[in-house]
Order: sequence, then structure tokens, then C-alpha cells
Amino acid sequence: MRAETLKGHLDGLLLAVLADGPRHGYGIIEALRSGSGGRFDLPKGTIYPALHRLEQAGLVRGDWSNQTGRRRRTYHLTPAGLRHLSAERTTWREFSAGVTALLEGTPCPAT
Amino acid sequence: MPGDLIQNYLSDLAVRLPGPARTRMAILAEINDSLTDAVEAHTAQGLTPSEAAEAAVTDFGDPIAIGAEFAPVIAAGQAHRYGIGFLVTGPIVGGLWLTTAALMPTPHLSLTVVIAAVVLAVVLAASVPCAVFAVAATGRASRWLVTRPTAALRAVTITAMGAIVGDASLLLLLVTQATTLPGSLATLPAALASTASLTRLALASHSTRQLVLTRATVT
Repeated sequence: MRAETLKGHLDGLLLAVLADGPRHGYGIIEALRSGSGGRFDLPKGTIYPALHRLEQAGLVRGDWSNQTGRRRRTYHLTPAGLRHLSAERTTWREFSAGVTALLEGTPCPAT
Repeated sequence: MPGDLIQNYLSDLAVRLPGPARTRMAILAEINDSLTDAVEAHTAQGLTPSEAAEAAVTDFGDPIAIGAEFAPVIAAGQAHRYGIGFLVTGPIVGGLWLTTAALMPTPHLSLTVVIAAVVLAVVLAASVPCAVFAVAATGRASRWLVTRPTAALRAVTITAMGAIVGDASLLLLLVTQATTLPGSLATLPAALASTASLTRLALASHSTRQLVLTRATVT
């Protein structure tokens, strides 16, 4: 899937991946790829500006550690990030229901 | 050499990142770690070290595109820090000047004082809201307050320029007061206030240059 298609949903996807627990950057990339059955294979570098933006907004927090002799930055969801993810999920359900109804020509379930 | 490929990629990206050296170094360290992970993963899948490094940098994406995506994020962080800096130093510098004015043995209201007061009122009216907006738009409130990345940069640049004009006006007023009315100022408060203004003048000038440089990289 093209990176452009995912652009508007990347923040929500990153929050969803971090809902399972703290991860470092490469772990997040792999979780996005494996969690989507290989469909979301973005240029890896695009997730870092997004993670930093989410950190500025207080939705994730990045901490440096040096446990394996290598400096690593691990991200985890903040309470505000968890609330934001919940709101994103609700918005997505409504959005996807509407788009599916229109594209597939099926009746849209009432909200 | 595989290591050279990674280092060349990081060097290529480094020149495309704006902002303070510390911020850029932290980003590059994080990306270096991610590329190292990617090389290890590719090597585990059977690629040679050179092939693994090549695949890692290719998968990571074009450094021009990654740099362009980082630029507004770095700019936001810079606007946030500078905005907080001005909001914190403003009351301190202002308080020192008010103390100096309050401790004047012989208060004297001249035309110069009135002009300086008007200039400072205009500067405060423009600078404070701009700094508050820059801090809000680039911090936690950015979840709700969606603005163009350049708006906060522009706002905090106005604050920095306001600080330059304000501090220069106050220092000019001090010199005028000291030369036209010798002995009208308490020495210690005047020395402290002028040192604070000179320091902030230097920092605000530096900040303005940095903000203009960063602005040029944000599209």
C-alpha cells in the first residue's frame, strides 16, 4: 500500500501499535508491517517524524535507554495517547462504515 | 563497506535537518539505531553485510523526503522551547526594570520615558500573545490546535524581535537617563536590569537567526 494512502491514518496506527506495550522505532516498524499482514510496508524513515510529532503532542513518550550497550529510544503510550486512540477508533469505525457502504453499495448501518 | 553506507546515509540526512545540533544529533542517533536493527534483520535473512546495509538505507527512504518530514517537527520543538524561554525571561527582565524604576531616588517623567513606555507597550502587546500561541500550538494543545507548521515559527520570531526592540529601548533609556540626570538611578538594580537585558538581547538575536534558518527549511 502506498505511503500516501496511509498518511492520514499513520498517527492512529502508531498509537494502536504502542497500545500493546512499549517499543523502539524498529519494533514499531515491524509491528506495523506484521500487524497489517505486510500491507503497510512504509518507507521506514517516515515513522520517526510522526513519532516525534506525537511526542510533542503528549500522546507518546520516548525514553533513551542503554540496556544492551547500545543507546535506544523506546516509545510508550501516555494516558492522553490512550484516550486519543480510543477516539481515533470510534472515528475510524464510523468513517470505514460509511466508505464501505458507498464503495460496496451496501446499506450503511445506522450510527 | 557496510558501515560507510550507513554513515553516508546519516551524513546525507544530517545536512537536511534544521535546528540545534543537539536535536539533530539525537535524531541521527535514533535513526542509526534503527538502521543497525534493519541491517541485523537483513543479515539474519541471509544477505551479506553490504547487501543488508544497502537494503536498510533503501527501505528507510529518501533522505530528502525524511529530512522534509522532520523539518516541521524540529521547527515546532524549536518554536516551543524559544517561546517558553521568552515567557519565562520576560517577567524576570521586566521585574528588574520595574525595580530599577521604583528605586529611582528622584523619579523624572521625560519625553524619552513616555516614548519608551509606548514602545514597550506595543512590544508587549505583540510579543506575549505570539509567544503564548507558539507554545500552545507546538505543545500538548497541538492535538486540538491545528496550525500550519510555519505559523508558530513566525509567531515566536515576532516575539524574539519584540524582545530585541524592547531590550534595546530599555538600555537606550537607561543610557539617556544616566547621562542627562546623573545620580537619578540606583546603581545595583540598574546594573542587574541592564545585564539581564544585554543577555536577553544576545539570546534573542541568536534565536532570531536560528528561527530564520529553520524557517527556510520548512515548506
